[in-house]
Amino acid sequence: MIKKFKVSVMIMYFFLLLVFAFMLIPFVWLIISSFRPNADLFNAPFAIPEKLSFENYIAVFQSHPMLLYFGNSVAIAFLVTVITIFAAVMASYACIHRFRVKPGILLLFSLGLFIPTNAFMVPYYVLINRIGLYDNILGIALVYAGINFPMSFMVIKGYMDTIPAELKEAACIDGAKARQVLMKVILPISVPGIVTACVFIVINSWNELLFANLLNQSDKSRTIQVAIRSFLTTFEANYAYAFAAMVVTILPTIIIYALLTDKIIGGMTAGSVKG
Amino acid sequence: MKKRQYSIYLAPAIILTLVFYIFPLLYLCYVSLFQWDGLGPMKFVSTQNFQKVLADRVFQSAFKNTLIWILSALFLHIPLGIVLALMLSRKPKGWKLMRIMYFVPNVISTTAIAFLWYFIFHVDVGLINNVLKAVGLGNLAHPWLNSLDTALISSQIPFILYVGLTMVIFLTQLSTIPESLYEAAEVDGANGLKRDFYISLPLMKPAIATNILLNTAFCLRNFEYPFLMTGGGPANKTTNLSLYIYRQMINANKYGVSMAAGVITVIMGFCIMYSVSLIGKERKGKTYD
Amino acid sequence: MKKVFALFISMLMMVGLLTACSSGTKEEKNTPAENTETTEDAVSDSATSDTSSEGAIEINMYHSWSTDSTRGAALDSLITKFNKENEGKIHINVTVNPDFPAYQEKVKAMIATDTTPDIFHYNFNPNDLSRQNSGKLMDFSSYMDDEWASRFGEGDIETLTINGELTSIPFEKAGALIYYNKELFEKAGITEFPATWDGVLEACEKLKVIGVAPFSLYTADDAWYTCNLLSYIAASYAGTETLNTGGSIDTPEMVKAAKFLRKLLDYTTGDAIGANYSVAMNNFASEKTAMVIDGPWLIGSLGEIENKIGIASAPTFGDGIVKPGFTVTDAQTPWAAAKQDDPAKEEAIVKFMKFITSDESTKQLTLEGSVFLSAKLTLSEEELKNSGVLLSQYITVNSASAESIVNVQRNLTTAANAALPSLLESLALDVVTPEEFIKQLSAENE
Repeated sequence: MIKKFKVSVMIMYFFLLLVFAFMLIPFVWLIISSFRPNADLFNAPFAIPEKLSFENYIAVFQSHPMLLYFGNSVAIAFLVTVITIFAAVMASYACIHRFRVKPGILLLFSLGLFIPTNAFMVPYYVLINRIGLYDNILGIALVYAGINFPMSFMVIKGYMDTIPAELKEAACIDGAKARQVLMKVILPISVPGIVTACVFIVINSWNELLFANLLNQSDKSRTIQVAIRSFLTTFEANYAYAFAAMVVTILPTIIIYALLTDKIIGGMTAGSVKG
Repeated sequence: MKKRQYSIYLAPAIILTLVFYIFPLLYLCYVSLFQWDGLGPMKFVSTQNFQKVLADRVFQSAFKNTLIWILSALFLHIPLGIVLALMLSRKPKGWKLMRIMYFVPNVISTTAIAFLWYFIFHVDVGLINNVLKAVGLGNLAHPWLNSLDTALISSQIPFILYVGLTMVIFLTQLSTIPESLYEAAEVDGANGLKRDFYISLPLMKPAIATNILLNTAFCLRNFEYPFLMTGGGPANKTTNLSLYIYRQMINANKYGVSMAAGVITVIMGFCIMYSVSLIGKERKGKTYD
Repeated sequence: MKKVFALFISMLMMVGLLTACSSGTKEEKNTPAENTETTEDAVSDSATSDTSSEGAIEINMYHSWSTDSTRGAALDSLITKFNKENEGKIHINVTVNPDFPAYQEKVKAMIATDTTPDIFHYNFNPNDLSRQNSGKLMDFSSYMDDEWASRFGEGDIETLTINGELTSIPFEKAGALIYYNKELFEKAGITEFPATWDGVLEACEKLKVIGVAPFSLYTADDAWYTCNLLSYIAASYAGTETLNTGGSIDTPEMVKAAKFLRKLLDYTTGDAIGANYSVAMNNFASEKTAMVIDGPWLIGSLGEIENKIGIASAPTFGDGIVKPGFTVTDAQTPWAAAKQDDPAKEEAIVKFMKFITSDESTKQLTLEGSVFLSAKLTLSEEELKNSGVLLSQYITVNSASAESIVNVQRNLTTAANAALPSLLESLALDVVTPEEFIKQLSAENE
């Protein structure tokens, strides 16, 4: 019995480490390759680099305004989060009450959950152009807000639904105004749900490429994802530069993640399972 | 709350929904009946665009590939997430570190990951082919992303493998299962796999439903992997619906055809997502409330 | 725990706010009167943008020639020169997008959204006149006097005149010639570049034996290298005259050409399928392949291996249908401009067009940037000799060609061009036969 147990534990460890290796080795390879000259990548892909060469990194920073791209991505993530959370919290708060057209409203909001928004390429493109926000981070942010709203609404509403009714009623009876009830009672309790929605929104908008690419023309609204996409063509197949550029783009997110890992993983799920 | 107040509170959400869902939906249906190159005037062609799309071999292949993506989520990605979550829930040594590391790919953008795996599968500089050559299996080296038989599965590998988010959702669900249940089972002699099958799995149903919904949605809107890793090639083997819509719009300038494909995608997506959510509701109904 | 969440979110918001503010100020700085498309792209030059002076007419130019390339650098120095000459009166702001296929899509998008760049260049295609028909391009016909018109190659102005409007100024018109690596050919035991296509097949076999991929080809984006090769073969079968009419491509000669192309597709690199221009070009520049069909701008990217490279005169099937040494030229890449309300700005644009097509500019672009233009080039023997071995060879082969055709893909519709990459891949992977390849391409072309 004891021996059998050990074998199964070994199999488990073996499997866990195997998956672990599959996940991690590509990144290790990427980082090592980014310090090597392009010619070496072709001739001796596995030789250990003789010395760390920052040449690739210097070239990347000289040819691309990487910090601007970062700024754009962060600004978009920020704007999307603010717009979406604002709309979702307000709507969720209204929806914990009963009113006549509520089923219709809920249906309207949840409709978006079932629609693959990438089908809206042309409509979004035409729309953003018409309101003059083409090649503008605000245009991209608005589209993301639209895309992310249904999910955020569902997460936040799902969380607010779990708030005991007595609490809400008690606040109302005290004569508090709707706004005060929201700010003082509902909002503080809903923080975990809101954080979950925030993490989802930030990850989604940070990752998005399709609309960021479609609605972008110049550097001023280029996100880091669109920039990565153009690396291959602009570096004329200099893979070493492309590797360095990729490390530059993923490093900050990994650092932020490393610092806040528990909060992100915790936040990711606090609201999602309940809802 | 008074009537007027509801409308104020609902206004931002309603505006967002109208502008980004209702208007695009109507616009999509309307313009899909026209021939339009994006620059010139539109010409009414009735349902011709739909006929063209449905008869287009590329569209058929894109439709099929999108379904394959969803299947890979259901039968590979999610099961892998379940297995890893069950293993980590035993809290083996280093499980916290593993949980953190498994999640890392989820904070890195899909774009960077697709790009990275493009290089891993690359014929010449790629990691896989070079490992094969190094261990003397050079004859197995293969243009993974450029050959008909391996392109689709290769472009799915990073998605299937990076289960961090899926796994964390399972883990959270598992952590809500009271320890007493397991203890009781142990008394009855249920250990190891039995414990997983008879206690953990049934109780994970809500998380499974959540994950099916999230991953199906991802597969329906997935654009980065085919776009960056294969460009839809070779010979449209990896084109999916997102990429088809994009190519018809951007490369072929057939806006009408692109939007007809969009209408079909919306209908298909709606049906799939709705049926998936029904399954989810049923399961949730049994375990919750 | 909650506090930490709140802290995280507020941190995120602060970072966001800061960058939003900073990018906000940047936008303001870069927004002149009418156009918002002025921000500098990746490799745009600093010399032209920083010296902008008060009161000058601002012209926004969008092009795809990266300043890292020799032609980009040559164009850049000309723009700097123009800005200096017209200091205080006209100033040209440059935005560069070096990804040419993406660049062309963006230009179309900008025309569609009424943000047409003041000056831009594009690939002219008689079967895709969407730009001309948009009504948003400036008409140069009233400015095109005999003197200016005489600068350009025969027929170029006529070709670009659509519905009586001259919306484009002829600019680049380059031959895509066959470059080959003499050293690799010698290694494979081939002494001379073959004069017939069957000889090319034999040479390919020999090159393969020594482990070199004979041709640099690619199928992504516009699959240009592959289409150059197809055009050469097609012209060898059909003659240049039949192909230049731009009629149906569903002909027996095209099927034959597709069959021959299929054979040659076995003689390319493993990464050709799905590769783009830069990957395939790099394969030739790093001596992994022995042959490539490219324009003169390739010369600037060859670096150290330039002296190993020769330019071949095109092979034939030896049946006299085409004259040996014929050439395939790329599409014309003319300049175009956005329609202007302000006559002063219109004149400024014309002034720049005249400047960039002048004798002096043409010479500089060709000699420094290896660019070949529609505008006439007058070089002395001396200048030809000093232009570099490969460039002078290019000039010689180019000017010695008795006849030429335009690359077949440049006469295809946008839809057919969009379908081209996947069709070529299907051909290479034997998903379709050469007959089906031509049938499907021609169906897309209607």
